[in-house]
This record gives sequence, C-alpha cells and structure tokens, in this order.
Amino acid sequence: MILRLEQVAYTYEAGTPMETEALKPLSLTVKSGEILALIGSTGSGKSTLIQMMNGLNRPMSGKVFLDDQDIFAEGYDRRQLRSRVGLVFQYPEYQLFESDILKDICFGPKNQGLDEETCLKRARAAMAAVGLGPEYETRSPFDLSGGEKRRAAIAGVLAMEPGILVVDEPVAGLDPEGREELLAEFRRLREEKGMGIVIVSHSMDDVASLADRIIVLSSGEAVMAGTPREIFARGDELTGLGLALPAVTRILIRLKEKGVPVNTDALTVEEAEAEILRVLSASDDQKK
Amino acid sequence: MAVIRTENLIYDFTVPDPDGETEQKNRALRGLDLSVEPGEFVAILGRNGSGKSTLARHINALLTPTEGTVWIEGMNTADEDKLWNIRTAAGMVFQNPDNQIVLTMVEEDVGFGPENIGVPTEDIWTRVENALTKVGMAAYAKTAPHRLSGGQKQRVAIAGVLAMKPRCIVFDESTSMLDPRGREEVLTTVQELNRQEHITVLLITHHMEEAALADRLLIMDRGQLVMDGTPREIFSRPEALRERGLTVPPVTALADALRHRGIPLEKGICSEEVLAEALARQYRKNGGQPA
Repeated sequence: MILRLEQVAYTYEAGTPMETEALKPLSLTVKSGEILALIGSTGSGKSTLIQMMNGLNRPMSGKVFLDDQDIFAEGYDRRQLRSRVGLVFQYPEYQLFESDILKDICFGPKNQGLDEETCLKRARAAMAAVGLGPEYETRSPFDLSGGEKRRAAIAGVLAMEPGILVVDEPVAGLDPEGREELLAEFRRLREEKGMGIVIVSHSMDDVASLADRIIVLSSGEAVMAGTPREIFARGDELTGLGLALPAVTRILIRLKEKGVPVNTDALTVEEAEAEILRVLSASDDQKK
Repeated sequence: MAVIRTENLIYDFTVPDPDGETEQKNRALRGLDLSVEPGEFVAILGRNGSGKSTLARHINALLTPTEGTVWIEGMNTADEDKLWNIRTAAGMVFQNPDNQIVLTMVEEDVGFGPENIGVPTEDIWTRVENALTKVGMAAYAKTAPHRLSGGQKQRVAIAGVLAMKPRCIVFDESTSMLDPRGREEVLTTVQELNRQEHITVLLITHHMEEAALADRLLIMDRGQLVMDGTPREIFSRPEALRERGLTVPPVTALADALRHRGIPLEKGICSEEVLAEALARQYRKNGGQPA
C-alpha cells in the first residue's frame, strides 16, 4: 500500500483578515512496512496534515493518492478508506463512545461489514496487542484512566487491520511499560503485517529508536526530512524550532564539550554505551 | 503542620456488572498513609490505573474518601464547610489545557477563580498581574487563549491556579501533551514556583526524566504507596521499578549499562551533567587527552 500526498496545502479562514496558512504545499509518501515520524512544535501543521491522510480533511490544493487512486475523486469509497488508513487521534476520549470496551472496539470492523465472530476475534486480538486483558471487555470506556482510554482507542483502530496506521501522540499518558509494549507492537505490525505507520510524537527518544524517516514541520512547512541520524545531527536547528535531541545524544554532546573525543550520533542507549566504551578503552590502551 | 496528610485513605467506585443490574465494587485506593511537608517537590509515579489521579482528586476535594481521612493544612476534606478553603489552598492543573481555559482573554481567564470567591476587583487585577508575571506570560494578558501554544496555554492555566494564592499545586500529567519547548517552559515554571514561592508541588508524571527533578518520589501500585525516597534512591532500584510497570530515565539506563561493563559509576545517577562529568573524569584518569 502506498499513501502519497502531493503538494497538499490548507488555509484556515481563507479570504478573511484572520487567514492562516496551516499547511504550505507539502508532498510526502509512506509505504507498507515503513515508519515515518512527523515532529514539530504545537501548531506546526501536523494534525492538519494527518487528517488529510484518511480523507477527514480535504486539502485546499494538492491531492492525496492511496495506491494511485485519488481519495478525493468523485465516487471514491471514503468510508472504506477509513479502515484502510486508520487514524488514532491525539485525545482518545473523543474517539470512544460505546457502553463497553468490547463493543467500542468492535464498532470499526462491524462497520466494515464483517460478521460478528470475525469482529469479536479481531477486537480481542487488538485488545491483547495494546495490553488490555479480557477483564476490560465489559468496562465502560468512560471509567478508564487516561492511559487505558488511549489503549482502547488504538485497539479500536487496529481491529480494522488498516494497511496504514496514523497515530497522533500514541504513548502520551501511557506508563513506561505500556509505552515500551506499544512501541514494540508498532515494530511488530510493521515487520509481521507489513503495516505502514505514520507517528506524530513529541518524544524524541521514541522517534529516534522507532522511525525509518522523519519529517520536521515548522509553521506549516516541511523544513527537514531524513533518517533519524541525519535529523538529530542538527541539534541546534531542532532546538531553534522548539524541539530537542534524544537524551543519550545530549549526554554525548556534553561529554564531547568536556573534551572527550566521542562521536555524538548515537540515538539509543545501546549505541551510546558502545561509543563510550570504545573511547574509554582507547584511552586506557594509551595509558598502557 | 503537613500540607497534605492522609490516613488509611480508601476509595471505592462501582462499575456495573456485565448483566447491567448488579454492581461490582472496585477499590482504587487501598489504605494510603501519606504526609507532605510545606515546600516539598514530590513526584508521583505509577502504572496506568494505579490510583495516582484518584489520589490527586482527593487533594482538592473533588473526591472524598470512602474510608479514612484526608487533611489539607489540617482541614478535613470531608468537611463541606471547608470546601472553598481547601480548593484555595490546593490547586490543580490537568493534562489538556483546552479543557481548563474558559474565557476569551488571558487576563479574564486568570481572574475567573478569584472573582468566583469574591475577591475585591482591584485585588483581582493585582493577583492576575502577579500570577501572569510568575509564569512569564504578562505580555500575553490581552491575548485570546486559542492563539497560544500548548506550553503557553498550560502556563496560563497555572496562572489561574496561582491567582487563588494556593500553598500547594497538583500537576496531573500537565506536560504530557506538550512539545519539548512547552514541556521545558512548564517544568521551569514549576521549579521556580517551588523554589522561589515555596509552593508545595505534587507532580504526577510518566516521564522519569521529569520525576528526577523532584526532591522525593512516591511510587504507587494497585492503590497503594509502595516506594518512597529520593530520585537517586528510587532510580538505583531498576528491578523494583520494572515490577511496578516503571523504568529509569535514559541517563540512568545508560549509566547502569556502563557500570555493568566495568566503568566505575555510582548507582541511581539521574542527572545528565553528573554522568557526563563522571565519564570525563574516568577518561582523564585513563590518561586520555582532551580532543
């Protein structure tokens, strides 16, 4: 599956003195089996952009293609589109409405026209994938904690088995264990099901360890694009945009400023560990 | 006197059974004993559903105990006559700033609380100005809140609480939706209020790096308080944290990994500067030359 956005743009309150360019013409592609991260400060246009991906938001100019079909063309089945490109919103409480969790999660597959048995099977698998045990099936979505609601909302979209999953701040409000599990689940969906994933996140640590590619948005414009290593090599520019570096990258930069000749391009704890050990053992050898 | 004290705090809530008729009782808090002294900066950590927010809602009497007692500056939260005094003493800032801002101009929004409790008009304006200055938002007094960034909105929400002159503020995941700069802004504000204004802070968070800024960490699990100590003490027990669904900050994880590979580092390091300095010292000790 290939989702392609071509020169999409969006202006709020166009033609009035309040006119705001939320998104300047921007193009991007996301394919099955890859994880694309969108980062940028609040108001940089990320939400406007991702709502175009499943047809919720129609660009004022430009086009969106799913497998080379224009999703805004007349006669295109946009209802079916919502199960092929699954979107999880930033505030999951806006996405839950049924009387119990199981019904809520079954809603999507049911709408796809699947039979009861398949719906239940998919809903239960999706609940397991986000770490909600069977005891949650009968709970009301409104009695859940913030983190539990988020899991339920993600399960509701996963149950539709979308080819492309678009998630807005999926781990905000999740406890560390839940966060690690969910990130591992995204990796598994990518590897085993070949799902394409677009993730919007303010967590530079998560983006660094998860994404294949990153697009940085600022004031409605794509200002940088590249691999995590390419993007996080531009720390000063990121800080200038209200963003930051992964924690381990920051530590290596501090170390370098203290005169230790480390490479500062590590993005994960494992990479930083290896780099620090390399430099320390080299200095140890010198002594001997 | 303790700002917050709880004794055997128990809170039950009921959920309907699958048949929709009978009700099932769930215990969110199971006998919590806690004491927080004036001026403390306490972070509360725990997995989803461990009771953190339920505890927070007892502190400004949004919830009252099923059993046991909560006192805020000695006032029993079950005493309805004390409700407004309690809510003035202990303010709360939530996760989503858009749900907390009610009026169309920043200064009006900040003045809403004091106006509601009958503060004289001229005092309201002084309080609003002071509160906005303390959160670094004085320049935005006449701005419409929807024009602000997430971090700015959250600072306006904090100013709204400050205008009530609280002695204690509970932040319930108040940074979780913010971008890195917004998070930094809010955390700097929280630390300044604690250090300069001596406001007692309870910070509920899932970010271990944020928790490391506190003087004291409380770990909750299944409605109980299971660990209580300084960040260094708590973060030197990664296995115990893992059992509670928690982890250590990346800086501690890196220090632990290096220690296991034979680099002499202390346990529980949770400051990036401390780790970088210790490693630089080790490098010089090995005879390494500055780059």
